[in-house]
Amino acid sequence: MTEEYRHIFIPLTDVYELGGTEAFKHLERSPEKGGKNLMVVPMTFVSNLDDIITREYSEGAEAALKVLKDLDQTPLDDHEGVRVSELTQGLDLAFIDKPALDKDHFSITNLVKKIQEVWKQDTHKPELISSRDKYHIKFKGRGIKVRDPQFLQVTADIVNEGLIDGNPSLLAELRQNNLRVPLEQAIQIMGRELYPNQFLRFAGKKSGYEYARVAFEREINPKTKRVTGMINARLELLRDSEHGRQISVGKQIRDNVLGIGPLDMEQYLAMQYGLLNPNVDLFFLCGSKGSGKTLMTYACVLDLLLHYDKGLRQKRGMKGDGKGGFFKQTVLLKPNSLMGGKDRDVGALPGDLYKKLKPFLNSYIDAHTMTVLGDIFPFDDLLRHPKYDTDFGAPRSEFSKNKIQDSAYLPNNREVMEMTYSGFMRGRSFSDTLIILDETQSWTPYEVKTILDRAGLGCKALVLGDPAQIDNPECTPAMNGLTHAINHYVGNHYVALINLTRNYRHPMSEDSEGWNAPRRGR
Amino acid sequence: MKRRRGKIERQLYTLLNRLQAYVPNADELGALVGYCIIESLHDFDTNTGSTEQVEFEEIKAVYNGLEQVIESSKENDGYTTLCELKMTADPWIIESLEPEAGYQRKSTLVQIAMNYLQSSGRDFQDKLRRKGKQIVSDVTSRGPVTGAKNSLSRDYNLVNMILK
Repeated sequence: MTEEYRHIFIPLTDVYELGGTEAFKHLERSPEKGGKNLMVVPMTFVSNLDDIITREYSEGAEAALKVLKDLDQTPLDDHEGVRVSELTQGLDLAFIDKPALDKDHFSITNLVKKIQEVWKQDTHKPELISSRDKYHIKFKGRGIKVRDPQFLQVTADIVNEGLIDGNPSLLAELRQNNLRVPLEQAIQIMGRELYPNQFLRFAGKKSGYEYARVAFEREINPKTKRVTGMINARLELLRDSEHGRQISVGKQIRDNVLGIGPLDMEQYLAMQYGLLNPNVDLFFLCGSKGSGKTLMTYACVLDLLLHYDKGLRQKRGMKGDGKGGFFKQTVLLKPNSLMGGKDRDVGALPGDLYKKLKPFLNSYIDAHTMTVLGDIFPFDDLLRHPKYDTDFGAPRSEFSKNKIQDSAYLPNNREVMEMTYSGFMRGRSFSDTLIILDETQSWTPYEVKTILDRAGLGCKALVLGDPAQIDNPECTPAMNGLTHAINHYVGNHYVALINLTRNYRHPMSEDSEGWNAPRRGR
Repeated sequence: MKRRRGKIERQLYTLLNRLQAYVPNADELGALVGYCIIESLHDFDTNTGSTEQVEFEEIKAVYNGLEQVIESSKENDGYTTLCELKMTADPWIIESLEPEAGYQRKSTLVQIAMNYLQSSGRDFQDKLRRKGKQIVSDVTSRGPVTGAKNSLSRDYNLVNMILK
């Protein structure tokens, strides 16, 4: 006799590709509710997942197959070709193979019929789960229930969580209490949760907005040196002097970083409290084209890598007497779909790598020319070794030995920048590295997870993106690596988030929005 | 001979385009739009009969409000305009959000907005900003609509859907 399930789900292969093993976690029935759910996996899907992995590698598909591989499959009495496994207390998996349903006669409609034949449930018909609109349209028309994988969807609005509007009562409280209010009190006044490193903005002062920050001291375990918690958490109004937007790194104060200064307060908050903040190890910087996120990121990253003269090292708060920047190196990562996918094949490596990758580096080359570095050495010097030939060709030019702003040099012991894409990340790990994930809205959540998994001690990850500029058919504004990563990480003490909302671009660029320019499909 | 284009009526797309010229910050723009909708409609009343006509009157009231905001932003700036809007709208919103308020709102759009804000804790400013931003984003990506009745209807439906 078959078990009675609360819900029967049929996730299509796109759910596994995008979410990997998340599907199993989110579809199980929680113990408090009682009962069990069933997830149906026809053998055809297993073959499809394997094809996906072979054709163009998918971390999610591979992870899902690994889980399925390890399950014991118990044949179901009276139903040849149907085997059930218990995955968790709240979830069983049913594999459907021939003769119950073979490849030649496979269709979703036949699958649903088979499920209803095996598990005669009066309530809760089987539900398909897919993120693809075409399947929703197709199968709803056939009377089959289809739902979105809600567990894979995060509203794109989450990018606005880094800087929210505060209410006047809270501003009044801040002013009355020496510009600071305990975090719990601030939460009560706002009526919502507030996160470490979050910013609040208040309108009302004639001179412009005021800003407050969720600040705290880090509690550090003296033996392990790891941060174990936050103490003295509070909301603090930024001083008026900060509206002058001068950047400080340690005790070094200046108007700009390598020639790039913040043009407004949002950019200032991003540079000061995100990009250059030594206590923020994971910084999400969102913004549309023309917001300046690439330019600011590039300038700050290079500044953190430069080897400064001794006096300035100490002023900037660098530890030790030796040389070196805050980080050893930076790794720039772009999405697989843009660089390594079948439409944009970079070909086998190595060999003339710079020429192959150059089209994907153009925004950084432009940023380089806008900083003071553009007058000193060419961009590709950052990718070349100071002394030896590498995949990127000859060693750096002589210009790279020039002093930068009279006080700093490029590191002379290794390449400054490495560029790669997620397909080449397997088996790697990083330490003391600035990891830049660019165009993260075009990564799947699983791809971002596997990158951030590889961050070792001393790393800082900068996650850049704009949910409105997705260039990967696997991703949508509700389901992409950027919004998912923000949703997962925000709230941790080492995380900050800013969305740049002001654009500095020509009116013709702004007016191009709303123009539904047709183009040929590939 | 010049090709004749369909006339683009007064509509959200043209108004928001004009407003964006004076308010380049997307957050500020969103807040202005959110507050403008509330301010334009909080004392809305009409004697017009059909549902469609009432909806058209509501969205026209929003257009009027946006035109005032544009003029004010042109004369001062977006921030000053926003502060002025908040000064008049905030007290009314706070009062309306009290559980015992029991206001009967004649405007469907404001009713929907207030229902949403009711559930948002005490940070209605932030919620209004986000709704405003979404309206700007959706209108911009939709592009202009031709035909007077069509633009009124589509603008109303868009705002209705986003405020929910």
